[in-house]
Amino acid sequence: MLFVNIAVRNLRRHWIRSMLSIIGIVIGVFAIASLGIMGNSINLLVANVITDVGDTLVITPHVAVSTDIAGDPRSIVEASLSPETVSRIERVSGGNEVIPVLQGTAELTLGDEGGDVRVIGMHVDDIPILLTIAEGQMLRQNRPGVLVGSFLANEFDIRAGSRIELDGEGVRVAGVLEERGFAADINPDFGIVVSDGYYGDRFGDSDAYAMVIIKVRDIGQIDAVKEAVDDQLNRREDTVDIFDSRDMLAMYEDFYDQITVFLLAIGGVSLIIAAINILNVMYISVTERTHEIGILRSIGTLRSEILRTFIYEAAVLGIAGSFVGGLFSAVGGYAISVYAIQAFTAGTTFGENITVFDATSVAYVVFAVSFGVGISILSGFYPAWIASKLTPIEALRHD
Amino acid sequence: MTRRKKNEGGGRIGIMVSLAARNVKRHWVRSILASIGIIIGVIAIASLGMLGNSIGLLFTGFWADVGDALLITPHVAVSSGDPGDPRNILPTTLSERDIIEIEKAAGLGNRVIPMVRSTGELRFGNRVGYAMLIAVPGDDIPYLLDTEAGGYPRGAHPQIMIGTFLAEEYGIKAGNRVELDGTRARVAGIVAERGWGVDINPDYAVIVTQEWYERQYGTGAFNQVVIKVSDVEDIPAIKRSIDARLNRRKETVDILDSQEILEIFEQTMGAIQVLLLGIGAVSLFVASVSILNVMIISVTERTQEIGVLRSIGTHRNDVLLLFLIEAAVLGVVGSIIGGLLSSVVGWLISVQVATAFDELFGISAAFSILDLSILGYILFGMGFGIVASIVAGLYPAWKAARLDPIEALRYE
Repeated sequence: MLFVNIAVRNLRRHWIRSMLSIIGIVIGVFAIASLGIMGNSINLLVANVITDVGDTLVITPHVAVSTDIAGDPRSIVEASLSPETVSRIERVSGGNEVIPVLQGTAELTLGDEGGDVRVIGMHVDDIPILLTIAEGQMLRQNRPGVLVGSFLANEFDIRAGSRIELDGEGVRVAGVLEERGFAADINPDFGIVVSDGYYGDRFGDSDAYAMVIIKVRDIGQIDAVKEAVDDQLNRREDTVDIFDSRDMLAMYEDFYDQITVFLLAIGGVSLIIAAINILNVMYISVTERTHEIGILRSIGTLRSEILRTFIYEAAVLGIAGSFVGGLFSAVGGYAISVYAIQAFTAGTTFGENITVFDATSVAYVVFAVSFGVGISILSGFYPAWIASKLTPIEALRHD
Repeated sequence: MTRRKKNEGGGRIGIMVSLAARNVKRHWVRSILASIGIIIGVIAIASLGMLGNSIGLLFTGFWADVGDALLITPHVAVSSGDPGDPRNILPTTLSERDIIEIEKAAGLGNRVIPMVRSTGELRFGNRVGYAMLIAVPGDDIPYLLDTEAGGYPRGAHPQIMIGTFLAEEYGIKAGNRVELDGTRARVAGIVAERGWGVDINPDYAVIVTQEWYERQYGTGAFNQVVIKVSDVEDIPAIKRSIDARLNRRKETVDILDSQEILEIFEQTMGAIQVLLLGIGAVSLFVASVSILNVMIISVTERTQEIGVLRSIGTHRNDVLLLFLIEAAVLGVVGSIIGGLLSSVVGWLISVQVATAFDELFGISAAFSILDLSILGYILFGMGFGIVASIVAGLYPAWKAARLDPIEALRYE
């Protein structure tokens, strides 16, 4: 404890340089924590937009050329798969759920409002496999009714039990779906989900499927199923494209990791400069106090005690700076995140009702504080080591 | 007389610079450490500036620069607001009456181009697959698209155009014969790469004339209308006019303004740029705090020396200048080294980002790193570094200059 007191006394004596060193660390910790929080916010934003479907194969008619991005508007085609193709897929699906999906459009009217909406038709038994309802009931066989996507319901204030008009004919809303986000398979948030029978009666050909979804029960099987479908349908020439939803997740995770590493790294730069500053100040201290070190050594202070005194000095600077920086970053990180999300999603609805703060954000603050303390102590090592290596006689002679 | 004074002035500055350089060298460890801060700071600010620039260039390459178009589509009940969101692109059609109204609203001198967006099965050699099929009246095609090879299809002849990425994938050249939904057609030309556009996205598509499409498929209901305006200033008026004609009683069409989208895009890019430069500036700020610190320590250590200088007649201003020059030397040396290194680091970061973008969005990064603006960012970083160092030296220098000679001499 004595050496901690000596360290604190020394720092106080040169309070200006101590303060300036602390300011460096404060800014460094602030930068690293805020940028970590920002990376996390971007992650939360994207996670909010993309649905986590990791066990799905989506089979669509073969497109001549496309990008790897699911749903690139430049390569959207409205082609279809025949019932024969669906049964061939069923044959090789290995007992996994095979869900053929019909897709069309309808004009929605609600009083004097409305517009075109996406209509998705599926067998009533398949709907609960893919979708969950926020209110009301699922569709049942031979019962009229439709399910409404969350954004659509929100926009027009549609509730379970409401009546809407589709292509000029009234129908009852059985339920409202939960928000799903952008997904590789179906996107009902802005649309309407109906039974395949109802779809065939009203909206179009119930024999022309836009896609077939295979829900793979055991994730280990996914590659085998993929290969079997490919073998069955793409042998002679490519007729279908098979999209593995894990690819989309992997791509997104990869992207997120890169952003986070990048942001933490540029935050780290400031902290490294701050640490070099501590190194510099400590080094100057040792030079100035060579005489004092000589006296201490000659009255019997051990090398290790000298070493400790200087490391304590660096540690006190680091701890003070890191904690203040940590406190600031809790506030600043939030502000930066809000600003960044606003900037990135300008003009769209994507950034709405999103929380930018969660446990991970707190973890980034903790990480930044410990990083700040750690690197400060580390930068104190070299000067402290030099101080402890001084020979007492030489040191006493120094002026 | 004046000349001599000037010479003396030059000599005085010369002496001070060498004095400052000597002081910097005498405490070389602390000088190097302080400069390292500036070096890293300059690298950070210049590289992040370059990075922002690269991101901007990548996106610009991805976006077709259409600032003079209005896109009119059937009204979608609810949309996310993102013009490229595939969830809001529906294969719905506009009525004849709508098109006539749009033509009236557009007025004379602005080209109204109705389009069909459909799907066709393309076969070439042993390759077959579905592609987006866009039908545009033959006369309008040259107004929308540039050719990479060959020419434009005309009238109702069985001639088509192929988007660049589709042509590349299938190895199709101008003059080749392909099969579209079972009908043989000649490839009149290949469309030049366009990127993502508000009006039309031909890169992965097959383009046919409206005339041929109608003859072939029997129907010709339009999915969208593009208005190419001759004067960008007219856009708001046309928008209002269409709204008044078509959306009065009930919303029937959505109007997308390419000008507005470009603005949003530029805003986003600007915000990213400011964010990145801001982060870079933070490191440089920390580095200048470090210089401030070292200079304050210097002044304290050399109080006695300052006393001696003052008592032999050195002017306050000269003491001030001496310390400022010291700070400037640290800043200049650090900034020059930082500037040199940042051209390398910035290039590496930009390449890294371009690769990530390529993997993620399938955008081939065709930007050149030898862009002049990159030099601009390096110079900006260096300038910022030098200025920050001199500013950091101001307070210590002022403190040194204000010291009382007697007090300073007595100081230990």
